[in-house]
Amino acid sequence: MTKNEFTAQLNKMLGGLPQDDIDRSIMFYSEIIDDSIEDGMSEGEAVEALGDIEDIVINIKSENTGKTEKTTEIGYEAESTSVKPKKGRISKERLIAVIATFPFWIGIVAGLFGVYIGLWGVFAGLCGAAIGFAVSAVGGLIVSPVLFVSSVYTGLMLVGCCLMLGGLVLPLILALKMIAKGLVELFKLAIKGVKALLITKEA
Amino acid sequence: MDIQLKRGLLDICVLAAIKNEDSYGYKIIKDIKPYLTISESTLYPILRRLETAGLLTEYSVEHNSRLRKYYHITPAGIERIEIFDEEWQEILAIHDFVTREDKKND
Repeated sequence: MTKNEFTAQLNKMLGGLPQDDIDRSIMFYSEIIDDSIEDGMSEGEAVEALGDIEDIVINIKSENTGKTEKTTEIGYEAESTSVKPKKGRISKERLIAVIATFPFWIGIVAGLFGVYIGLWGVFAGLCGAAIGFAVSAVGGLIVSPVLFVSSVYTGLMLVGCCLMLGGLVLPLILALKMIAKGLVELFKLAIKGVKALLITKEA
Repeated sequence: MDIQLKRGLLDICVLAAIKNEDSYGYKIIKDIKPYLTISESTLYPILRRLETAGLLTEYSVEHNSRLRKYYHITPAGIERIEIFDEEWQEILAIHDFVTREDKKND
């Protein structure tokens, strides 16, 4: 394998890491290859001397993800188990502060909660509209042959209206999906905010 | 050799390799190899870790129309070697105690 092939493969295998880390790793190994060549090795020998590229990738990634390493007779290799995240605990001081300032923030929180529930109300209303549109479109299309018998123009108008309503249903469903996702994310964010406020990480 | 012991020793060896003069990756490996097995893929994470810990700094120098990265030990790095030296004296004392016990058993 040539130096260029090695660095290209390393670049590919390190995908997912920050670009700066990838560049640093590639620079390090390029330098080692160049120094080995200066020391008398051929390019192929210099690349081969680096060892298995998968081991190199594991070691680089282990350093980036905070995983621990283990040594073997030939060096380090990454352990599959990562360092457990630090446990959080509720800070008593913060909890007391939150309870003590209860009269100040309860109104704001209740107001925001009301707005949030209101947004779900809007969502429910739009759901109703979407269902209404869909039912009207289908119903209209079913009834339209009867109208065609009495008046072709009325029948055509009804079919046109039904298709228009039907056409509105799909964008409405997509919009509803986005609104629901946004509202759920908003709730998660609020929970995260409360947790960040009350829970401190253990040293 | 015990894995954790080797890990600690490699960190110290890398610091020792740049203690007297700044050095670069390839030379550091060559300097350490007679004493402890070390590969390029082992050295890279060690250098990153030591740099993050503030025990060494790095800078680039132009060499043969390319850049070569040199590593420089910081005062904290020198202090780490001194601490290792003190700890090693304790280990030697423990070793002395352990082998003495062996002799008694013989």
